[in-house]
Amino acid sequence: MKNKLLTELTNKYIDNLLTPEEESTLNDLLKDEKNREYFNSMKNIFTDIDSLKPSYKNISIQNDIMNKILEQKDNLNMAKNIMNELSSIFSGAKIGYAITFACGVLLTVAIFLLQTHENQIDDSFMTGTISGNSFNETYYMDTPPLSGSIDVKYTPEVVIMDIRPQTDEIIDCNLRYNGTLLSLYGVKNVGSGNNANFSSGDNSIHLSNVGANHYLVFFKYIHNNPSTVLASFYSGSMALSNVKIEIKN
Amino acid sequence: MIEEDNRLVTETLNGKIESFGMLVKKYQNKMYNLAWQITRDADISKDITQDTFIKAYRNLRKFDNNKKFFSWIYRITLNDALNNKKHSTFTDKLDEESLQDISSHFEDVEKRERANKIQEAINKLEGKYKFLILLKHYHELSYDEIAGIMGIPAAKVKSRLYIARDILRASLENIRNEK
Repeated sequence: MKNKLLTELTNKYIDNLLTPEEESTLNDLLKDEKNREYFNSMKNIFTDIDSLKPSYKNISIQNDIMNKILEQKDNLNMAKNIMNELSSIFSGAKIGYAITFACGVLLTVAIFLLQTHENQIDDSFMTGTISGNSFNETYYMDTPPLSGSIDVKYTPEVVIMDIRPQTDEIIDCNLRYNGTLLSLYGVKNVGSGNNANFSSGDNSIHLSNVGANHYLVFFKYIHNNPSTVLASFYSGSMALSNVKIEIKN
Repeated sequence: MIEEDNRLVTETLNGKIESFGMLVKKYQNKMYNLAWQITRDADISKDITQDTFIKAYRNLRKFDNNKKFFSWIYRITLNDALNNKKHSTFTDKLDEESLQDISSHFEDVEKRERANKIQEAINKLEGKYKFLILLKHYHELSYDEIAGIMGIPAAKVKSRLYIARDILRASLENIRNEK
């Protein structure tokens, strides 16, 4: 059986990072036939990989990208100019405040109208939800390499799940539920990580980058029957952990 | 090289948009190839590459200019490509067309055979291991660069890559024994 030192030195050889001392140690190890066999097979594989790597494809989309950026910049400048023009027309403090107020109202209405039904969360359900010790159940993901928990809180109408894996890696979570027993009421990200987004469809919800973000998922009961939600965690497309959550109701 | 990127970022923020054009020119092929190796779709990869740079430009003020611009855009591309691919899965076997794409460059039958076997073994790797092999051996990135992109310590990158290589070796032996 190969030893740890042989593995380390073989890998350093592949990476071209061997020091002269390590090279000498490796040569000593290679006096053993089994060690030599292991080393040679690794060496050959990675020499092959380096020489057989797929062809590098060249593209030139620099102009397309820069045109799009410039186009967006122009639109932004145009909007700024319009605002400046408006400001100069409606000069005076009171009218300025009035315009600002009107813009604020319009923006609020626009945001409200653009919200999808699924995103409309009644924040009263969240009272105390993330303050700790207010959950009814906790499910742990203890499948290496992933750890963390899913906390579950029951209210008379809604089940709230607090998805909390402990990882610094980019992992996604997929929640599957029985659409005849539960309906998705909403998802709220209360974290501040990058690439926070979620999508739903076909009785499942996809949450992105759950390690850096902090999602609360809200389900409404359709029937007062017990149900299950299956939470699957992925790194890329590799499944890391599955957690089955029993909704007791 | 890194300092040059950071200088170009600063110049872009000061209004010199041509400097961002230089960053695009420098990294467009790397981002496209990364996206292509994950999605295996030329049009989608082009879109992902475009989106990466547009997102980077929009968020340039949020970028910490003490860090590597290169790692940042690599990560954006990687996330977009993986998100795009998540339903058909990165760990899927390459289709015949993709295999031909890789092996058709080798006139030598034996070499082509070896390329196919290696690709088959890489395809069998779990996503996180496959991705490390891809970044290290196809993109020739250092441990620190991979660590910056994946957001994990370099020591973890190294230990995972060692495992990936061992699995790949075992897998290739199995493939050889099967055939």
